[in-house]
Amino acid sequence: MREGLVVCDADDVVRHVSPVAERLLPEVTAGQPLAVAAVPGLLSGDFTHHGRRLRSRRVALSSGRSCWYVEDVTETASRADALLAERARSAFLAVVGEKLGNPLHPDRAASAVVRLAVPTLGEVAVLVLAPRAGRARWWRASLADDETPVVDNGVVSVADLPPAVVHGLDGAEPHAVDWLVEQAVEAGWLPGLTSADACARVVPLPGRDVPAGVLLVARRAARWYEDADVDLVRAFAARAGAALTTALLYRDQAEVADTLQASLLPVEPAEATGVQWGTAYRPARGGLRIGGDFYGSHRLTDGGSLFFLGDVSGKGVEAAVFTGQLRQCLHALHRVETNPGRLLKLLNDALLETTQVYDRGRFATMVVGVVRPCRDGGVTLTLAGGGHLPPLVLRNSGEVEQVPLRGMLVGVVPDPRVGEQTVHLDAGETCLLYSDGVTEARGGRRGHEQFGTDRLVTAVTGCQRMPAPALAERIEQVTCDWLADGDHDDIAVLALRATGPAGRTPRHLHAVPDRATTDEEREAPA
Amino acid sequence: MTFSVTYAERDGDTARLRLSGELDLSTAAELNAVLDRLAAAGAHRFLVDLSDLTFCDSTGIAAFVRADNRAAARGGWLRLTGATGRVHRVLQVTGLAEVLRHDSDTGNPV
Repeated sequence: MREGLVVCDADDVVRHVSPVAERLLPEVTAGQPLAVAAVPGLLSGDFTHHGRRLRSRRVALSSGRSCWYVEDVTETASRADALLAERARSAFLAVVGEKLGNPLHPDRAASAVVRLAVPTLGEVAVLVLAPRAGRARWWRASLADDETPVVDNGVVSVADLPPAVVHGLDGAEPHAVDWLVEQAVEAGWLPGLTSADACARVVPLPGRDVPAGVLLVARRAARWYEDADVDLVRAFAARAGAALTTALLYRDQAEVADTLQASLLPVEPAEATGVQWGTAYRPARGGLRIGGDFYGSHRLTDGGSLFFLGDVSGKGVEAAVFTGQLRQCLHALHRVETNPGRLLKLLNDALLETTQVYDRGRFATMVVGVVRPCRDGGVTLTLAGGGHLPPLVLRNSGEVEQVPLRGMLVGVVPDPRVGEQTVHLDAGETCLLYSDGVTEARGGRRGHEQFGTDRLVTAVTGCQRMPAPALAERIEQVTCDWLADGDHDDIAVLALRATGPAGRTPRHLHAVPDRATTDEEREAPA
Repeated sequence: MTFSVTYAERDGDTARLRLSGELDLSTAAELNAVLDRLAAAGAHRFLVDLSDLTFCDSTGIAAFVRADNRAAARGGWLRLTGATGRVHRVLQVTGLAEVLRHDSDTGNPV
């Protein structure tokens, strides 16, 4: 029988004590009033006596007598406590898993780890990331007066790391007796705690091959880290390690992607004598920042410059990679061939070979030109067309001409017909190359109408005195204004303006200053 | 206007297709699928009527070029007829009108 019995008479004098009751309440003896035994808490029904959790209840018997039932519930209670604690730990880990679940930037992940560790795991949590180049970054959360954790971070040289942390970074879990608190206090990581009144634990955060970092938690010695606590710290560390590893991996991949992406962006045209360049570039998938349009220029040894603008079939990354191949081809080919028409044919042959390998119907449309300065301050353009929209020329007279440049797609047939034209620009005149993202932009009043060449010509009419960068920007602007829903094809514009003698651009009120302009105003010859 | 491909009974090795609507990134896959299906069934000459096609972008051009390349590998071809308006202009600008021109007199394009 687990329950003890104490029977009292009408005067509350103990008349009987069962063996179980004798063990639980040794003070109670038969023949004496119950009050003499003075068992604290007996009347409350739930109390701790001699280290045991007891539960009591009084039952009235006949003739004013009564009976006390006393039960030892120590084990039941501690099982319930353990269950509650386990639930709290599971809930804590669930929150941690949720908060760290998304791939965060490594810095934000590190900050989140220490913030989540406080106060459940300690009053102070320090995360030391695996060192890079001899330096380790750390994040710390400590409980402030108003119970909200304050997070700060810093960098420490590997030589100055506490030995326990170094040990942890090697994957070992330093034992509590290894003077962890002293090391942490010495490192200056435990504000408001001294080695005398604190206890600490250090656990490695599992990474891919080696630990991603080390977590140090500390709190006042009033609550020692018991086995269950240490298990919780380890479970937390496992989740934190996984989150950090993902974030680091994600950052590494993002770095690779950024590098590749940067290599696929058009390079601004190189400065050239007698020429002012203007460009605009707006890829269809803005988030990617890259697309299937491309432009660029290369300086030639004879003082001229090769320039090009084009568009490849397809969209997005695949198209951008193709433009990268094209630009590299042109980069190499212009050293052996500077005639635009022949260059385009060489490029066609090179592309045809790779296109047949890929079998994707890949091709490009483009305009390639060479610009050479003339004695009169103007420039001569030799243009070759590869199935691209013909360039526009803004004359000083205000007229806008379309260069009658024909030609075939590049990379489709062997020995394509390449159109060639020679154009002379007087000082102040501009040649405009653009992609079909401009003329095929859909919008307008009905939302589905194409912008078209006519509207483009209207938009640039009267802009003959604009500097090239402003003109390119204006075309991008009017195109985007036209677009109904922001959804558009890649847009690229390359404007080339003859700057006149001495390399000075006739200035316009809205001129954007650039290196080619000087303070002296100089009007173009009419 | 939505895009559609219709094709008549095959005349020997030649498949006749008729496109209508707008051929762009969102619809070119449909054309590619039809061309591939016909090619798999043995056709290697494709005559594509563009009379009712109102728009064609570079993705559409790519579909024509790809199918012509594939057909050429088997001794066949793909030719375009009937382009008007904007589609005609795109074919002119890209020079594709010349490459994929159908010579109706001989039925045997270069």
